[in-house]
Amino acid sequence: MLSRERFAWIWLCALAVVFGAYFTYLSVNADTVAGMHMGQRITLLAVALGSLGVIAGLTALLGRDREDDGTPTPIDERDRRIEARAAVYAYYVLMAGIIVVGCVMPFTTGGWTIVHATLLAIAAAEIVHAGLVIHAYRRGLRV
Amino acid sequence: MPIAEACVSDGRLTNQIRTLRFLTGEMTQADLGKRVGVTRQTIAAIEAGKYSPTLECAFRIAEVFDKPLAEVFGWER
Repeated sequence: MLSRERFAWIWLCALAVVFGAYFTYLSVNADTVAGMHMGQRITLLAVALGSLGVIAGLTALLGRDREDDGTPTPIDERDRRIEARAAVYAYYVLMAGIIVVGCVMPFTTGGWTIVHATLLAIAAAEIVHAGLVIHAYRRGLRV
Repeated sequence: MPIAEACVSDGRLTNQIRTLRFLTGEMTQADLGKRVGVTRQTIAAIEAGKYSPTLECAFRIAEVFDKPLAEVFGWER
C-alpha cells in the first residue's frame, strides 16, 4: 500500500472519530455546551482540531514511502490525477456547504451553529476527498 | 444518433507490458518505472488494467521496449 493511500485511510478514520466524537458530545450535552463560556467552547474546538493536526502531521512524517536509496518516493502522474479528481468532487461538496453556511444560515440562525455547520462542511469535503483517493488506489482509475 | 453518443464506445485498454518485461530478461516493474519516470505501483496498476496512462507515459513505455505503441497497448471491445 502506498503511503498516500495509507494516509487517506488514517485521515478518513481520524476525521470520522474526531468529528464524530465532537459532534456527538455537542448533541448529547447540548444544555451543558450552551452554558459554556466562549473560552471553554474555543478550547473544546481547539482540542478537536489540534488532535487532527497531530494525527496528520505524524502520519505525514512517519508514513512516507522511501526509495532504496532513502529518498522519498516521488509523486507521479497517477498520484496527481487521483488527487485532482478527488479535489474536484471535494470542492463541489465544500461549495455546497459554504453556500448553505454563508448564504442561508445567516438569515435563519447564528453564532456557534454557523461555526459548527462550517466545520461539518469542511469535514464532509475532506471525507469525500479521502474516500475518493482510497477508491481510486484500490479500484483503479480509468479515464 | 447524437455525435457524442456515436463517438463513445464501450471497451477497455489492454497492454502487453507483462509479456514484454518477460521478453526483456524479466525486467522488474521498478526498473521499468524508473526508466519511464513513474513509480513501481503505477506500472503495476497499468499492467493490471487499473490505470490508463497518459499518452506521453504510454509512448515512453513503448520506447523502453523499442516497440511501436500499438504493439504495447491495444483497445478491446
